[in-house]
Amino acid sequence: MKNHKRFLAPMDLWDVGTIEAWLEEKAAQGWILEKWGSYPRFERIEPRPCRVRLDPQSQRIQVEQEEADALYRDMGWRRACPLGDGYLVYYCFDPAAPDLYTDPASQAWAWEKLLKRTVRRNALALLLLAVWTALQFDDLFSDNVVELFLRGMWAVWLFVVLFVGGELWRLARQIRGIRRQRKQLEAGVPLERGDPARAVKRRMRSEVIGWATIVLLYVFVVGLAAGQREMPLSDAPEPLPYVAMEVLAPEEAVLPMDAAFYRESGGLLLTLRSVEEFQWEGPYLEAKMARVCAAPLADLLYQEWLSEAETRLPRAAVTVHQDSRFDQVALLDNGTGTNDGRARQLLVARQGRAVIYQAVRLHGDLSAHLDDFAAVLAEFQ
Amino acid sequence: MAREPLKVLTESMFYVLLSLLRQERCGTEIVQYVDDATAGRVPLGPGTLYTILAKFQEEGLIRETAVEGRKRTYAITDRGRALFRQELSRLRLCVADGEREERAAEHLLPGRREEEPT
Repeated sequence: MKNHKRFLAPMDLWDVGTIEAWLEEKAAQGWILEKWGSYPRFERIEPRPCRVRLDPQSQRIQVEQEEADALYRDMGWRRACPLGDGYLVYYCFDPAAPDLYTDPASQAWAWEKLLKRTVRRNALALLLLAVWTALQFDDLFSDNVVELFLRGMWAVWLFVVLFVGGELWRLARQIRGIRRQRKQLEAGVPLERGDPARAVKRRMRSEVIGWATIVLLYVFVVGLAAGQREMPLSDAPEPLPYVAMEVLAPEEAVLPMDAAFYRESGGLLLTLRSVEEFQWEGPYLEAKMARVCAAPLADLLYQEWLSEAETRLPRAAVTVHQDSRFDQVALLDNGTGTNDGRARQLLVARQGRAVIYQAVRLHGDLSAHLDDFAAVLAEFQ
Repeated sequence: MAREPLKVLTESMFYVLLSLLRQERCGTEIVQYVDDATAGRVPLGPGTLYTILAKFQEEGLIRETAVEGRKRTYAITDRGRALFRQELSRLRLCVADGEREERAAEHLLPGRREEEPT
């Protein structure tokens, strides 16, 4: 027969009356608290009724605490262990012994100190939470916030919002609970005792939600990692998400490239494919193609990529085409201002849920290939 | 927010001050004294006693006079005596008011009976 066992405890440490009732129930079943934690450890005893009280920890020095413990013992109260860092747990098996607190009004003083300590700690926790939250939302101020959001930050931000909301609710509930109990004690009303079974169920529900969130987040991160692929451009799967160099400038496509690769990443809201092939000081092509879950989000991504293009080629002439094959299309032409005679051009286009961004440095003209771009976008709807 | 000084004492607080009026006492002696003085009518739990002692020290109503091992002895201060007297006067007034009203009620009782419908 096991002499030690762990049980799932009620969630709210400030709900002292309910925890006392729960510990009394456990003692009547033959278990006395040995160590508190998420799953408190209990030691087997002879089942017997008893009284359990949680004493808010005061700032007593060791000698004072020893004196208090000696008197508590003489009066039938045995200290079990600390509960969190706010209380000490006392058991009393003598039904004739006076209660630990016989005067609610003076008990309220102990609660006042606990309340002040809790408010101080919660203020610090709020500050840290605010800093952490701000760090998580730092990317909101970046230039590619839409792309980041679609690529997976939406899940991180959703988690942060839910987590911070849950924490704020928990902190507020704790302060409200302690304040209400202190007021009741001041008015001479003893601590209320809730239903321990209900409190344990609430804790179980909270555990399930917490673990489910962690598992979901884990699955999401693993899914994101598994959805990423990188390979030489020659191995890229068909259809290709861009208008190839062979089409745009066939005489340059035959040159040996210094790098040519293909990348792909998938998520719930977005599938992103990108291509890069270039020769140092020679032809250059970079393309990215996104297939977004909804057209309005694709529109936002188009705007962001267009603004990125304008930043990249600040002196380029921008032509916005009105073309029935596209919902939106813009071409940025930087001209051939360099010795190699290659044109620096950038095209951003959207059709439905697909958005393409292609930058080139080639002997060619992107505006002559709008048909090809329309065909690529049509393939990725 | 400024801390509000103690104005009214509960029974437990009153008896803790009372126990120190004539002599210094330690925690165990205070509990014993209150139990004897009230014939067990006012139970003084150990948590209550130590909370009251800590608060009274904070308020300057009592002071610690000696520490011998785990035993700490307390004495009442002038401020504590003043608060005790103030509380005693308040209780006397309460008792006087209560007795006066009770006498008046007893005096009224037959008349009220007469007014009751038959």
